[in-house]
Amino acid sequence: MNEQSHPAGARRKWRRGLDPLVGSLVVWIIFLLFLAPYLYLIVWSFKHPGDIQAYPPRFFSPLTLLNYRQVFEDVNISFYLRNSTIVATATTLLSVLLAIPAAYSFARFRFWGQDWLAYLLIAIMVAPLIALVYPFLVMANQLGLNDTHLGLIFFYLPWNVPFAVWMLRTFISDVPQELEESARVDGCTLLGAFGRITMPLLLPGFFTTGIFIFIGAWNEFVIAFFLTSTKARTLPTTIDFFLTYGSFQFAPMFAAGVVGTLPIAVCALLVRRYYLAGTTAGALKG
Amino acid sequence: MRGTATNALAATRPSAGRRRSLRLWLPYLCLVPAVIASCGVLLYPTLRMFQYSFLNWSFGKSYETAEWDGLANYQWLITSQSSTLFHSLRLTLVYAGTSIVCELVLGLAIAVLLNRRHVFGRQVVLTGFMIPTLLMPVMVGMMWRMYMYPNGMLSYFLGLVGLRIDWYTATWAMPAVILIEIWQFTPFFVISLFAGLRAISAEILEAAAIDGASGWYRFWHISMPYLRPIIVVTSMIRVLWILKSFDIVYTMFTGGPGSATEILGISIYRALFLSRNIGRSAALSVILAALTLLVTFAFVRFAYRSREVMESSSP
Repeated sequence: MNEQSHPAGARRKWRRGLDPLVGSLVVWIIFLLFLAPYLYLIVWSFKHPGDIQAYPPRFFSPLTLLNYRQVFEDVNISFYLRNSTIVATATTLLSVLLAIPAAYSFARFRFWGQDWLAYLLIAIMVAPLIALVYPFLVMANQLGLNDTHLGLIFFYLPWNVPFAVWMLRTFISDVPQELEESARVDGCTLLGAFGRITMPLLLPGFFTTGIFIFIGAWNEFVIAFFLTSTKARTLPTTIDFFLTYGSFQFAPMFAAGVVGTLPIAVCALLVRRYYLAGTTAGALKG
Repeated sequence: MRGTATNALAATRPSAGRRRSLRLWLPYLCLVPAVIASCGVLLYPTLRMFQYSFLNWSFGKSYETAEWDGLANYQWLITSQSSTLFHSLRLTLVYAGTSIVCELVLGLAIAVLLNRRHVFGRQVVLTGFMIPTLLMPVMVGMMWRMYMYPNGMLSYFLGLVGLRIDWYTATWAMPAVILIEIWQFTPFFVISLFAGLRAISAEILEAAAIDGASGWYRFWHISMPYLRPIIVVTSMIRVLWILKSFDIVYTMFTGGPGSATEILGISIYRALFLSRNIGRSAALSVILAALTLLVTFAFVRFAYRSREVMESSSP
């Protein structure tokens, strides 16, 4: 984004020099206020357990990796990290893969019932997770999917596939159809034209859609909470368990929180250009 | 849908009748994997949810002995003294109303500040603002839970200005949830409104300034009408989010103290795992699903109409 020049109008000259400084300062103060709770979490995760709960807070106390060692050794968070990574990655890959043909169809073809099918996909996407938890539980037990990675992936698909269709549709529409047509004239098949011409241009689209699905699956709590217990438990549920079982432990939770949210903060950097498109479509996701 | 022109791609190669029928069916064939992965998985549980909502069924009672009860569950939810349905709906309304108005006002103010001519590190600020909205809701709940304890960070800073608030009481629990919501989602308004402000052509504003329009006048009569569709769409998205919110309230208060934060999602959970009444929980689920569908329908209709505006405003 380049600088947009607003007319200064009747503003006086001396104010013009001061304006950018004051404006930037105000913006940065507000910005840091918004970021403070998260920064606090990060800084405090490096403090000694005794300092963490001190009141009034000890702002300048020695830093340590103790909490992280505890989280990785006693709580064995790497196991839950592994579960989260497996489930989120598989959900991402499967959703995008299953969505490609449908997205292509919506973007390139005109067919009877198109609008209604699109509405149907949205209607599926908005189904609230919490409303379906019990039927899911029954279904998972019948299919033997309770507490398995496969079960979580299976139940994440209905929300993420329509989302992927929705996102990819826009990305495909943005690739000029003429490119594919000229490849067809040169003797490519429909699939060949898509694979050789459109696919490479879609890589940013796949990447963005994938990141958003990954974030969603990584953060998902409701299904994971009710459908896993020990073997397939993911990070959000684990973080909740610091509270539910045993005493409420501040120190390891700070560290676990940082471990669980840092990948997402990095993802935010990767998708910043598409943040609005992704969150707007993602808003519909149950 | 946007679908460009006709099936031109499939039509480039003229050939026999089999090809023509393939051309006709191809758009539908392409949909099969996605439809199976979504409808296929959801159809059965959704039908089950409907069916359960008509049953007199609770835990400890086998499915076979649960009897058909007609609309009794719905009737109970609407008429019974101990039903929390209307309480939940009212809470959701207050929750959505208060947080969205605050987020909108704050978000608009910050977006306007960000849109000034020279802002140092604008891109850094915008990217940083994306972090709160993407954070794991459970962790957000936990984080604030710790800050809002009597010896937490927030209590300390409020204490510095002489405020002592006990967030874990019936009066303050809901404001606490709303405060967290405002913290997490004001940035979302900032980013979308900023994108909208950027899309307003500088020439129009410049022309208005030359004609002598003041800053306020330009804001209310040029920028605001342009931002209106963006404001409506962003607010509707927030309503959808709030309708289905569960994670944060669950980790913060689990619906308590008492039923002070018992929003619809929590009601479903409580009906299921505290009252252990599967039928009533399913009926609540149906109500929540219907509400969500209604808002979504309005959202899609509106977003569809103002799509040009939305698309031209993405950064």
